[in-house]
Amino acid sequence: MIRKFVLATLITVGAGTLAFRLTPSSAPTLAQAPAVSSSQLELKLPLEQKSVRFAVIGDNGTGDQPQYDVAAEMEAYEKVVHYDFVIMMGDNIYGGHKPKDFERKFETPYKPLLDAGVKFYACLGNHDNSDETLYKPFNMNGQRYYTFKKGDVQFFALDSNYMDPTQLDWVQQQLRGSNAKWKIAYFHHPLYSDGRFHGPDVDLRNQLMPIFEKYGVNVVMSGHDHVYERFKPEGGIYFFLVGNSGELRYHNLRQGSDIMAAGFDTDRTFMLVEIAGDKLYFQTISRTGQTVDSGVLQRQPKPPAENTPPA
Amino acid sequence: MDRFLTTETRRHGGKRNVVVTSIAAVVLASTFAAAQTQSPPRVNQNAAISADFEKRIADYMKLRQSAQAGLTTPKNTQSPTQLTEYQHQLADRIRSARPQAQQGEIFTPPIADLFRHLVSQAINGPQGTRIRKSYQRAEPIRGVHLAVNQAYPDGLALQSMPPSLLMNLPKLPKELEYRFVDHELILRDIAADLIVDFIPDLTTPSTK
Repeated sequence: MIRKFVLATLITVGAGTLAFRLTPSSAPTLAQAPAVSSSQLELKLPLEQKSVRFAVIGDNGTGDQPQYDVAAEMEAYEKVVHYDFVIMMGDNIYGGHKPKDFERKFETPYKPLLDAGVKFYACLGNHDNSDETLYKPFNMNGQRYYTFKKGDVQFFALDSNYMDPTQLDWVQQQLRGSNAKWKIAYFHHPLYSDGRFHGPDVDLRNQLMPIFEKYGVNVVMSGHDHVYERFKPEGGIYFFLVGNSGELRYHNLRQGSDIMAAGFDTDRTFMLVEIAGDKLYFQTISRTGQTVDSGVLQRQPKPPAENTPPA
Repeated sequence: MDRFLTTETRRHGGKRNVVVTSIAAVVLASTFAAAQTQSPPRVNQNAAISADFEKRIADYMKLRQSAQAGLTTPKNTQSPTQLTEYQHQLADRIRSARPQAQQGEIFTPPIADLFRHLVSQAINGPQGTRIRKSYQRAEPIRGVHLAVNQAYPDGLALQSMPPSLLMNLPKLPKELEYRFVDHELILRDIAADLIVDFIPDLTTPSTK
């Protein structure tokens, strides 16, 4: 699709159908998405009224052309899906953290989304600097870990780089005190992964899974491995890995995995999610506009611990 | 600051605050055989080392607070320039407040030995395999040597810390954190992005 946009730009820019930002040849370029309708995009979401809609990106902050290509796809879908916010799985800004890096690796590629009022909620990856917590467009309010609510959904953005006892206590308290219908935790390092480069963080899993299971976390999303993967439910929880919205490790997924439900490791992706009532619809879209995974998940019953009053 | 808790103690969730094990008890348990020949002074010595570490951290925090006076944290700024300026200003003020600081000011030799013991205890303990896997899968930093009062290099990834290992180390104020850089354990001032001190030649989870 990006190729189509660029080609279309060359043909129709004079008619004003598309705007094309002129940049030096070495700099990545953002092909702005044209006005599109759901019939032009392969849409797998029901777009129900009053649903919670958001996008998911991870390991995106390279500042290179593929990140810009994904951003253009995100913009095209935003015009139809009208998602309100984007959650970021970390490695938001790779390499240097000078002002120009924020511009090239975040502000420029996502400018159309930012201009449209789409909010970004970041968590920290191992390539991020703690000063990102103070950067308003990341909506972290100076915190390494935080929570926010959208409709029936409560999000818990954690810092898996430094899961110390203080943060573990905080996670437990916040989950115990939440009466949200859906609880979604997200952080950089995956508890499950078939990525050959990193793989799962088993120590982190050992600490977090008992808490997630006890307090009824429905969905966990992570990045770090530069692939897309969806897992068969583990401990009754749905797991996603979105670590290829900028970076990519080509053909990095293990074959023959018992835990994988779907995987994609030949291009970059981002994910769209719509939550309506007890259903979570998802659609994962590649840099070239191909839908590489989609489906609907049913909300799990709440565990008994959720009805236990706080100690 | 709560004292040195064992991993097992930490894992017991709600009872955590009740079952507080002091560093003396940890060391007593792990060096029982040695204690039989060296008797109580070893335990008392480690308790004193623990207290000394806490005092040194408290002293740094006082110095930091003074250095920060009059400097406004750019909360929720749209401007990355403000973030960079704040970080540099805070780091400069801290450097000016401790110009002679060098390795060992906080991690004195006895404190460094105690940390070596605690890290070793964690990576050789029941969670050792998980800690090593966690460490290896988080892109360990290699071939970098840092100095006290130096800024953490811009663009260098931060080594993620295995949770079970953090449970075995003394808790720090939220302004500070531990990180591994190659075979060194660094004490980092987060907002200033500054190396406060480090322990060289540590047996890290990747060494074993």
